[in-house]
Amino acid sequence: MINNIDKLIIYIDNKIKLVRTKISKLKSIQIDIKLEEALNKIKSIQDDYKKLLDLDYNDFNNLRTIIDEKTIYNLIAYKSFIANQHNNIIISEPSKERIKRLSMEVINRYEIYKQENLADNLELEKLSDMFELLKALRYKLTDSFELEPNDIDVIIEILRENGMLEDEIIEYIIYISYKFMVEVRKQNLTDEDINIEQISLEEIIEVFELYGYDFNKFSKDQKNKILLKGNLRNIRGILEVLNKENINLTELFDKRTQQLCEIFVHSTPILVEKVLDVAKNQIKLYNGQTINFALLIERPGIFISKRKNLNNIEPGLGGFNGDMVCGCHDDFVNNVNLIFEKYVQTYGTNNGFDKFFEKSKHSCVFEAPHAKILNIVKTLEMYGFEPKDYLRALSSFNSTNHADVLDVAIELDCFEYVKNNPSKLVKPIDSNLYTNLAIARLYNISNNQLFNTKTRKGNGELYIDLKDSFLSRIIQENNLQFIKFRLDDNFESKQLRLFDELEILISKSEGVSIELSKKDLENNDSILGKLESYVPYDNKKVYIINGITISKNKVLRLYHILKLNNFIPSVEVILYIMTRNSYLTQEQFETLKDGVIKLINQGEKRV
Amino acid sequence: MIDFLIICGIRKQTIDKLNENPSNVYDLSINKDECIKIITYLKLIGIKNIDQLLLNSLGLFFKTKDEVVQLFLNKDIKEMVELINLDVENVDLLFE
Repeated sequence: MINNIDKLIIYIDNKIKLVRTKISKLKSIQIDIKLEEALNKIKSIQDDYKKLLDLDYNDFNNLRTIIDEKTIYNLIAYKSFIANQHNNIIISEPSKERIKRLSMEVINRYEIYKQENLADNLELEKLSDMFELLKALRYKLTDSFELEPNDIDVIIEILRENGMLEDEIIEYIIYISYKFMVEVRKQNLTDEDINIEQISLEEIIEVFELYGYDFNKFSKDQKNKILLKGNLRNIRGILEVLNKENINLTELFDKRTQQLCEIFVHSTPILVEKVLDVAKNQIKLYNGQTINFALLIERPGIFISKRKNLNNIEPGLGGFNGDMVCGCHDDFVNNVNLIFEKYVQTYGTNNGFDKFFEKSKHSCVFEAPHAKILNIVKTLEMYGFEPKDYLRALSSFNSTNHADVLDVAIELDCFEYVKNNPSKLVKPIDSNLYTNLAIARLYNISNNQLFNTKTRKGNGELYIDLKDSFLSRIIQENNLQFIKFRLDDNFESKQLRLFDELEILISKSEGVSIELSKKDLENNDSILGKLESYVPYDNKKVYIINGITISKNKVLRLYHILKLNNFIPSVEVILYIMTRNSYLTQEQFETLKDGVIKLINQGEKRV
Repeated sequence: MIDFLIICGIRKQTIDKLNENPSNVYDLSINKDECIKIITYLKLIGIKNIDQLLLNSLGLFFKTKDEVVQLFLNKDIKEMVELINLDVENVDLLFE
């Protein structure tokens, strides 16, 4: 049982000592200033061989660090040779050349020596950083008690270096986490926590015993929570509902007591019954006798109806603090129903939905706000996705700007690829994937070079995949890059402020329909009506204006937001919504601008 | 409620993003101990992008540490670690 951090402190102290020793060693072999002085003299020999005379005994001695004895000997020999010149000894041209060659050899050797020492310098820098980090960590563990995000990685590394086993490390980290969270936990306790118990201990023990469970399996904190905040009738009702479905909690009492505690305190028999009903009849987590409750208990929130703030602690910035309960029962039930309906619609049967649920569960889509899931489904279907497309990767629902991503995909002519690989929907619009594709379009790399058709494992269905390495190789080898046009360079500040306002409206209009904009399509005098003649016959998803491709859905949905908010669609605003998020160069932007101005002001149609 | 993630080395931005969905935060706080164990285990086997994993596959952190270990044991751990480090979406393979 770990009950102190002394062991860790010892490990850190040892490491500090070790790092300190390494630093001292490295410092002792730092480049000597005297060596540099000797070398400067050697360098001057390149201009005049007689400068060899400037080197004294100490200089030759210092040079021994970097060069062999033979070279030193030769240099000394030549020095005395030059010194004896007054004795009418003439130095031949080949000898002069040899002196210069020898000095060059010293210079070259010095460069190698410097490089090696540079590596040492980097190492020294790294060790010095490590030294400071360890000292700071020690202080945090013993004095300030405030750990920072990267500290845990260092602690794990130190524990591992000292031969601690995986499970021991995990236990140690748990201990440290709690030690440093203890202040937070204290803050969460309020007077309400020491109120009178709602349930008597004897009664609750009896109820649990009645269903074959030991109340003492709960921890002290959990027991208190149940006694203070629970309701005996409610708890009995929940146990009865579970019993009716032959659900045995014995195993869960060993590893999921915290979740059980929350359900007993905050759920109701009706809610538990509803979740079990959905699990049995839609998800089919039912083996003919009982329901796979272990899978459901992972998310206790699905048994709890609404958000309630116990202890009246105010929500914190960007989230909330305190002892707050936030269930997602209604969202869960509605999401399961929606996705179940889409599943049956796609596959004509509910067979396999249990496996689908289990496989997709980690993406947490079933517990997400139902309105958000509905909006995503609506958006994806508006863009031409079928349920079979998005059911393939429910994790893509974790993203929030599907429409923006799809507009970029349409404009970069990779819509089918994204549709076939919906997990790409979570890639940000400025991710490498889309930037690389924009470069490919700019340099006319064809779709044949970029994509290939593959067969999907399992069902043999054909799908489009990206030859990833090809594209990144071309980009890397040719050092290609995409320079997007800048709004600041093309619009006045007054207009830029207007666009900021528009962005706020767009962010508030999640899942907006394009239906209303469609009415305008039939009006030949409206902008959308005029744009209809720019839709090519072979791709109804885009407008092509002066050779530039713009997503039609983007214009329709943003135009709709403009109308809803009584925004006047000036030329600038139309240009803004058309080019929003588009990968366009300055030149392409200007080409498009010419086309749009003609279209709006003169009503010119495409030739 | 999920400030314990800071001690586990998770970035503030990731926690802010997670805080956008209160029901996730609540359930995660209930599974605090196991979550700390899971994060430490993932670090020990060499997973580098735990922040991204939390955003992409939060459900993994509602499990027990033993369940997560089992998911990795069902596959080639080294290969899975490489794949997940390469692209967090490859975590889907753990559930296949």
